Formats: sequence, structure tokens, C-alpha cells
Amino acid sequence: MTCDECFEAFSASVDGELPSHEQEAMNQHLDDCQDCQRLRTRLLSLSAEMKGQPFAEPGPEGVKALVETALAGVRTSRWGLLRQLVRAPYEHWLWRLGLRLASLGTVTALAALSSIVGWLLPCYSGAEAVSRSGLPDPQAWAAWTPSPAASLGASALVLLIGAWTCGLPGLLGDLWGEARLRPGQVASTMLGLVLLGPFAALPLLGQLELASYGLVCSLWTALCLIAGFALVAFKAPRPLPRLALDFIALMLPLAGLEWLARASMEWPGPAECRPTIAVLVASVPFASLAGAAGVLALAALLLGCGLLGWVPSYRGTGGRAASTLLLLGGLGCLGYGVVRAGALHPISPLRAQLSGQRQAYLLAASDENPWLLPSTAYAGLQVEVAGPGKDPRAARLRAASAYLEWDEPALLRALTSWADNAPGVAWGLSAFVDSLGYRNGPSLELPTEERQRTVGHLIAELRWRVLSGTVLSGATGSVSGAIEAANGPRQGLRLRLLSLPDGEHALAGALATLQEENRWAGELAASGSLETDLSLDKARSAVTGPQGEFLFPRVRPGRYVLALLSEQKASLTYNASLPGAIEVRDGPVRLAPIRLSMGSEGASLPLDSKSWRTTGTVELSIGRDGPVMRMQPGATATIIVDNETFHAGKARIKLLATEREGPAARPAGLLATIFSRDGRTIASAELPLPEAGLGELEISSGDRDGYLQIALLSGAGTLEVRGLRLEVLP
Amino acid sequence: MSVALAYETTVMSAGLAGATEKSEEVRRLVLRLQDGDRTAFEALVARTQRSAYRLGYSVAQDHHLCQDAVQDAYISVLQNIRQLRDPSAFTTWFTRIVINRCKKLLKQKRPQSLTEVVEQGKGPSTDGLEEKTGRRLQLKKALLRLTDTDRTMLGLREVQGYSYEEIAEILDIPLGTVKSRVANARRRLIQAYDV
Repeated sequence: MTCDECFEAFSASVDGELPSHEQEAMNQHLDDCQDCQRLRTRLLSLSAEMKGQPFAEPGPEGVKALVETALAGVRTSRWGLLRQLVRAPYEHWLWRLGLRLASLGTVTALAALSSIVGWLLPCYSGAEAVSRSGLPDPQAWAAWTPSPAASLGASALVLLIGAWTCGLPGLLGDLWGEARLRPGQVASTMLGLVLLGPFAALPLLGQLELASYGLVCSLWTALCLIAGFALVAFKAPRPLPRLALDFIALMLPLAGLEWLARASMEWPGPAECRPTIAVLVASVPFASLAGAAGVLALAALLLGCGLLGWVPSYRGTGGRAASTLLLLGGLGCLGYGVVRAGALHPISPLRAQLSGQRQAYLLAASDENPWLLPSTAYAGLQVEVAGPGKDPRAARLRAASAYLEWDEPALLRALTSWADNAPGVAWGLSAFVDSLGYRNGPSLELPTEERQRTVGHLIAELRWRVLSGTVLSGATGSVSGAIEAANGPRQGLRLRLLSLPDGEHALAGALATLQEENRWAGELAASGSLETDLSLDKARSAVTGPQGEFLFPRVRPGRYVLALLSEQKASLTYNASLPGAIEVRDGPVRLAPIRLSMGSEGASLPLDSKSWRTTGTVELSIGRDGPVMRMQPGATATIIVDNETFHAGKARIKLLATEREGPAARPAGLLATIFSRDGRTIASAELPLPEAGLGELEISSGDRDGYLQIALLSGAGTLEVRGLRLEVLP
Repeated sequence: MSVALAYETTVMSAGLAGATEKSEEVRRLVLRLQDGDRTAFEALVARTQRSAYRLGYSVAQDHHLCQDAVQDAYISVLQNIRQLRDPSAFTTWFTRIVINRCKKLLKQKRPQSLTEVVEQGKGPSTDGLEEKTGRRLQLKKALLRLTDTDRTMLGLREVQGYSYEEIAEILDIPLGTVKSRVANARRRLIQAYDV
């Protein structure tokens, strides 16, 4: 034993704290060491002297004065209220719990809202149809989009309030006051701060930035652990061996966190998650999806608050029972949420292929809910491509087979079943439905009653955005006929059947449609991007056959006019033997042979002021589509056809004219008269203004030559004459 | 529990049964004070002020400073008594407060060296009890030459008579550290006294 050790030993011995086994060694050293004996004597002497030090002890009055001073000191403490306010959030469990619920709840709600608005709603806005169990009005949610500033603020709030309720102000206060820290308190405070990280980073999770979320959580946790260790090492009474053990214990989680941070870089990002979300939205009712997400978010909130409550805050007390209740509630919610999430059956796309060219993707939430799409409409959703052998669900395979092999009854049954059980949103379905019929503007014509019934059921059961304005109709009529020319039947002529709407301007409307189509076809042909034929509605187009025959096989009831498409431009058939307005009802309509006027067979009569003798107000002008004669009510216009062109025979006069404004009190029309050279009337014929604007009359002079006079008479409205053609027949 | 025992008795002579009784009384007073009974505070002060003064004077070696520290300590007790989880640990808690207050005030007054004041022969007032002998003055000088920590160790051990275990609990340091610190404080006191 050295002298230093001996001094420490007899110091402890004086205090009665020396273990008996050291007593003998000390005595032995004392016997041999004069210096230590002297020191021992000094120590005993000074110890006695210290114990005998006089102290001023206040009497009863002093006690009273002390009490009053202390009470007054508390009352007049300037910082008393502030101190209480600062301390209350981490020292009183109710404050702690309330503030944590508020801050964590805010950030959780914002993250949930952000994920719904940012990820679920776009799936709805892009969908063609939404099932009844889908979200009714996705656009209304757009106003709830949380701003980035709000999310950032909520994260900052979580960190601020979280650090406060964990007792960081108390810890910092003690550090400032140079007090010794207790390792346990430091550890629990830091553990509380660690738990805040996953919540503060929740906005990243709401944006599906999983990699950033993992990285931020790992870094935050590492930072808290290192800070905690530093505080314990420098500000807490901790023996060196224990500190070494602490250091080793710190390295293990840090290594784990580094691994987690690296692994999180591989986690999927928003682009990878989007298809999965799209499939979820398609296959799961919105209420189920939002319900499961809400329950899981609530579970996270309760578990977070419960765990934070279980970790003691700095100098905080109480609240364990409430935290336990929160934990139990959170575990309950978690279990319920997992069960609910497990009950969701995301559709797994199934690609069925009949040949290299024909394939379809089949989606199904359950066996009772098959849904299939043409591959072109479903290209964006190839999340999981599984061969038929890997997914044996019979219903899905039957539907796919029915589509590819065109087993129509089975296919229609599958579609009807899907409409009944549709869970979410639909993409590409309208393209598929269109393949069942023929589209003509807003009208979708379905040739069979079964198809009509199925598509009608789909529209009725779904909030169908694409087809909502569609008029379903069945084709119950047909129009057929043949075109002839002087040199025989005409093959390869392209015809258009134009719908003639009701109303005064029926012909103008038809003309406008024709001109629009013509312009469009011209542009496409000029650009070379598409065949002209492709630009036109095939259901209303026909090409004459070898005998000049043509057929429009599916024509819904209504009124039509026939147009002939020349190579250069489309025109109404007023230069042909006009069928006029074609009335289609149930059943076929067979038109009389249409004889084309070719070349010298006919000529358009000029609509200029020199050729016509007029009474009343008649304006002659050049419109976009050629000359127009506009005759005010009561006006007449007369022309004498040169007799050189009209020898004995028959004339066919074709009129393209419309009358504007009001019903005609006085019938408007065309009057044709043939006069002999001596001024007698040989023949006369009238053509009332035709309903469709197109009219034709024939007049014959028998075997005599004469003059042909054509008179146009306007009625109560303005008559607009757009074309007048004379054909001299043999 | 044993801290309170040491607190209210002359440790060297107190019996265990009596100490337990005193400790229980302090605990009840703390409970009443935590419930808002201000009359309990007066009783608590009467029970504890003597020990507080002795300890404060041991650390500060200045009567006025000791008074201020004890007064601050009682204000702190009133402000924070509700946060004391275990009322039977009051004595440990209160002793720690007194020591911290003394150290804080000493730090604030450090520029006016107490050692110099003593050596100039002015001697701090002890409220009528002047240093009567040269030995006492010599002891005071020696104590003032020590660090706050050494005086705290000596005050807790020599004056208050706390056991090493109690000191470890009060100062929140390991038992072995207490043993060595007490011995070192004593060694330095001897050296300072013999200078």
C-alpha cells in the first residue's frame, strides 16, 4: 500500500467506510510510516475542528422571516408564469398528450390529404368511367390540396412541439446551468426525439418519396443517438468503462441505420408507385381505400403518441395509463387496418394472347367482376403481366377467351357483371364498347338488341364521363340504290349519307357538315397523314359496286340526303337524278336509279343579273360556295333558255334552294313553261320548293321545238337559290 | 429515507428509530405542501433550515451568501415541489438545491475574492459569532483556499455527517468517486491549513 492509498484508506476509516479487509493493510502501513501517522493525526484534529465550527442558527423569528421571504419571492417571481408555461408541456402529461395529438394529428392528416389529392384523384380525373362506389366528384377535392408551405410548417411544428414535450427545454436549461445530467433522462429524451423523425418526415411519405423518407428518418435517428451519447459522455457522471460500453452499443444501431439509409435508396419512387396506385383505384371502391388508409393513419398516430407517452420526458411525470390506452387503441386500429387492407383485392392485370396480333388485358377484382380491355387501351397499366397459367381464375379466363374468340354472349355477360360489381374507375372501356358498334358523332349505333342492352346497362350503372352524352340507337333501316350514267353504271363512286336534321335550315346544316368533312378530308389528304376515307364516318359512307349499286346497311330512322364525293370536292347530288330527302324508317329503303348528268348532258344555269329578269328585290351575289340568288318575299326571277339548246324533247330541271324565315303562306317554287315559236304554251310544270332543298322536275315539249322559260317564285320568306341545272334528255 | 434521517439529527448520535420517525414527518409535510397546504411549508422550514444553513455555510463560508442561497433554495422548493415524484427523497433533492444555489452565488461573487477579504483581517460577519480563536480563523482561511467541490464534500461529510452512499445519491456520482473526493478534499485541507 502506498502513502496515497493509505491516506484514502484512513480517511475512509475515520468515516467508518473502510472495508475490513483493507483495515489490516492500512494498519500495517501506518505502523511502518511516520508521515502517514502524522497525517492521520492532522486529519483527525481538523475533522474534529470542522465539526466544532460555529454556525449562526436563526431562531423562530428567523424561520418566520425566512418563510415570508420565500413566499414573497415566489409571488413576485417575474418569471414564475413563464417558467410554468415553458415547463408544463413536458412536465404535465395532459399538456404533453394534447400537444402531441394536435401536432402529430395535423401532419398525419396533411400527409393523408396530400396522398389522396396527389395520387388517388388523378386516377379519377383520367378515368372514362367511375363506378357507383367510386369518388363522386374528384374535382371538388382539388381545393383541399395542401400547399408545400403547410406541409413544411406541420413538420416543423412536429419537431418543435415534439422536442418541447420531450423536455428539451429542461435538458438545455440544465446544460446552461452546468448541472450534471442523468444518463437515463438524457436517453429517454433522445429516444423521444428519435420517435419524432418518422412523423416529421410524413409529408415525404405523402408524396411517395419513400427513398427520401427512409434516408431522412435514418439520419435523424443517427443524429439523436450521437447527440445523446455526447451529452452522456460530457455532461453526466458516467465511469469510463460504462462509456466504452455505451460507445459500442451506439455503434451497432448506427451501423444498422447506415444499412437502412443505403437500402432506402433502392425503395420505389413515385413513378414506380403510380401504376400500383392506378390498379388499386381501379379495383377498390374509394370508401374502402380511404377507409383502410384512414384507419392505418389513425393507428400510426395513436401508436406514435402512445410510444412517446411511454418514453419518460425530461422530468415529466404521469400519463402512463393514457399512453397505454393509446397504445392499445393504436394496436387495435393497426390490426383492423391490416385486416381491411388485406381484404382489398387489387386487380392483377392478366394478358391473354390469341395470336401475335390479338391480345387483351383482363382486369378483375374478383371472379364475379371481370373486366377486359383491348390491349391498345391498356398499354399504360402493364403493372404485372402474368400468363394465363399463373392465374387460374376461371371467370377471367372465360372473359378473355370470349373477347379474343369473339364469343359475344359470354362477353356481354361478363361486361354486365362488371357493371354490376364495378369497384373503382375504368380506363379504355369506351374503346372496347365502341368496338361493339358504330360511332356517328354523339350517336353510338349498336346493331343488336343484346349489345344495346349491355352498353345501356354499363352507362346506367356507371358515372360514365366519355359516353354520358352518347345516344344509343339500333340500326333498323337500310338505304340502297344504284347510280347510272349515260355510258353505263358507275363503279367506285363514293357516296355520303348526310343526316338531315329537323328545322328550317336542314339543308344548310347538311351542307355545312359536308363542307366541314370535305375540308377536313382535304387537309388530311394534303398532309398525307391519313387516307381520306379514314377521315369519314364509315357507317355513312358507301362506294358503288360494279353495277353502280350501293348500300348503307345500318341506318337509324330519320331523314337523309345523299351526297356524291368527287375526287376534288364533295357535293350534293343536285347534278344527279335527285332522290331528295330520304325518309328511313324500319326496314330497307330502295331508291330509284340515280342517273348522273355527265359533261354535256347538262349545264348549270348562270345565276347572274344579266340572264335573269326580276321583279321585286332580288340580290345576286357570290358566296363561299358559289353564286347565290337571294329573293325577298314576293319576288320573281325569270329566264328564257336559248332555243338552240332546247329542241324537241324532254328537259329535266334540278333546283337547289332553301327558304328562310317562317312558313310559306304563298308556296315558293319553280315554274317551267315551254312556249312555241308563236307564243303558245306547249307544256308547263311546277316544282314546289322541295322540303330538303333539292328538287327536280321534268318537262317535255313533245315533238315540237320551243322556248323554255323558267321562273322562280319566292314565297313568304327569303328564297335562296344556290344552284339550277338543266339537262336535256334525248 | 436515510437521507432525511441524516438531515434532522446529529448523525453521529441519532438513533435509527428516531430518524425514521423524522423522515416520515418530513414526507408527510412534503405531501401536504404538494397538495397546496402552505402551513406545511413553515413546518418544513422549521425542520430543515438548521441543516440547510450548516451545509450552506460549509460550502460558502459566508453568512450572507449562505442566507441568500438558503432563501433561494426554499423559493425553488415552493416553485417545484409538485415535480418531486418521491416525497421521501425530499432531503436528497433539497440538499442538492442548496449546494447548487451556493455554487451559483459563489460563482457570481467570485471576482471579490473571499480569501483576500479574510486575509485582510476584515472577516465575514457570522451574525455576532466572531472567530474567537486563531485556529478557527486558520481553518476558515484553509477552507476558502479549497475549491467549491472540496468544501461541498467536506460539508456533506464532516458537518452534515452524511454517509458515502448518501453523498453519492445527493451528488449523483459513483460511490468510489465519493471516497476518493472526500480523501482528496481532506488532503488538500491539511495542505492548505499547514501553509
